Amino acid sequence: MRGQVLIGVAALILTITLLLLVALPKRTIGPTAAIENYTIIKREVEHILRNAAEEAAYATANALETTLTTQDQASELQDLYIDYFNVVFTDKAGAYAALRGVFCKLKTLEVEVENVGNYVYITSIYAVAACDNNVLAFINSAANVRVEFKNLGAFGGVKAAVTLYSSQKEILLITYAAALYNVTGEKAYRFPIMGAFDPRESIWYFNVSGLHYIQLAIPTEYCMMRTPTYYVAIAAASVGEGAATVVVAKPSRKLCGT
Amino acid sequence: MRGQAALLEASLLVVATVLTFVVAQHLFKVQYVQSDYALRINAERILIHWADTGIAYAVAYGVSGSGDPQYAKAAIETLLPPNVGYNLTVISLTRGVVYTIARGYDPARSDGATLILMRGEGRIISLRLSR
Repeated sequence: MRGQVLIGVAALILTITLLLLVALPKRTIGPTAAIENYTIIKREVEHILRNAAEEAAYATANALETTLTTQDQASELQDLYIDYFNVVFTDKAGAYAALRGVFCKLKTLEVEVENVGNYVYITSIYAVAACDNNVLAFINSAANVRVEFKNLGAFGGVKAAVTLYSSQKEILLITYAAALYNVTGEKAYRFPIMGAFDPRESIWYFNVSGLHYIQLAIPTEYCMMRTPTYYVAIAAASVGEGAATVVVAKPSRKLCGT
Repeated sequence: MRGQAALLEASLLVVATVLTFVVAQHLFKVQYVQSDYALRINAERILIHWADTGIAYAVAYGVSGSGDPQYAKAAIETLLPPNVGYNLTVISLTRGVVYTIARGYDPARSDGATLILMRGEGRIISLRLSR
């Protein structure tokens, strides 16, 4: 009798084990590519920052109407860029979280703007993003811009020498667009000059030296003004390297004719 | 007679116990099913290299914004030996598959990785390699 009970118990254990084997999901763990997975996510977050920096420059240049009627344009340009960077980053980080399940926040954003007499431009961008899986990514970019106004006879000329840097490295391939904003009666009206303030419709420009000359012609109706009421806005950005700048220049004299 | 019954019971007990142990060890076995570690690592390293050098943007967007399959083909085939098959698919987050290129790809013996780029409406580059 004792033997039968023992056999019964053993058979029960065997049956339960068999059921578990059938019912439990197959373990397909295997070795994980932990380092590469981490690196891919870090790169992706870094690229979100880079794309936000570039797209925010175009968005800022596209919305300059509101800032041109104010006195402190450097400060306004800085605030506008920071606002757009936040908006663009949040939008992208939300889409990224839905795809990868990784939630990232903008931890630091420092933007510097330089005022050089008759033009202002964004000189540096430093941004850090922190994610809930301990990934930390940052971008550090800078811009050096010199603007010259020229009288070209029938047209006015604007020549901007732009060099963008990402992590102290010169950017060779940039995209740019330019427009003219004429301010009359406290309102600014835009006149497109080259491309559009949208990364998809901008002009591509590659130069092995990293120095990019953006040369623009000012239409006669504007360059004839003895006291110009217009501003020239230029947005320039790298392609996926996180460097960008927005230049707002205002000539102080008549730029064409005699 | 009682001795034979006891012997039979003992034998059955031993058989049931041994069978339980044999079956149970499959519960704790790690199975490398449908996964090739080396291929996944290689795919991830290629995508990281592309992200670092900007090639990822040329592959996913190109100058026109619709990707550059010709460039992608050249970029991937300079890195992979002829005996490794691949399937490279670029997917737009709003428009679906932008393009797919492949060479000697066997899905049954493949593994891979994805890279997400959020420029514009966003792209997913899916690279799968097979032996």
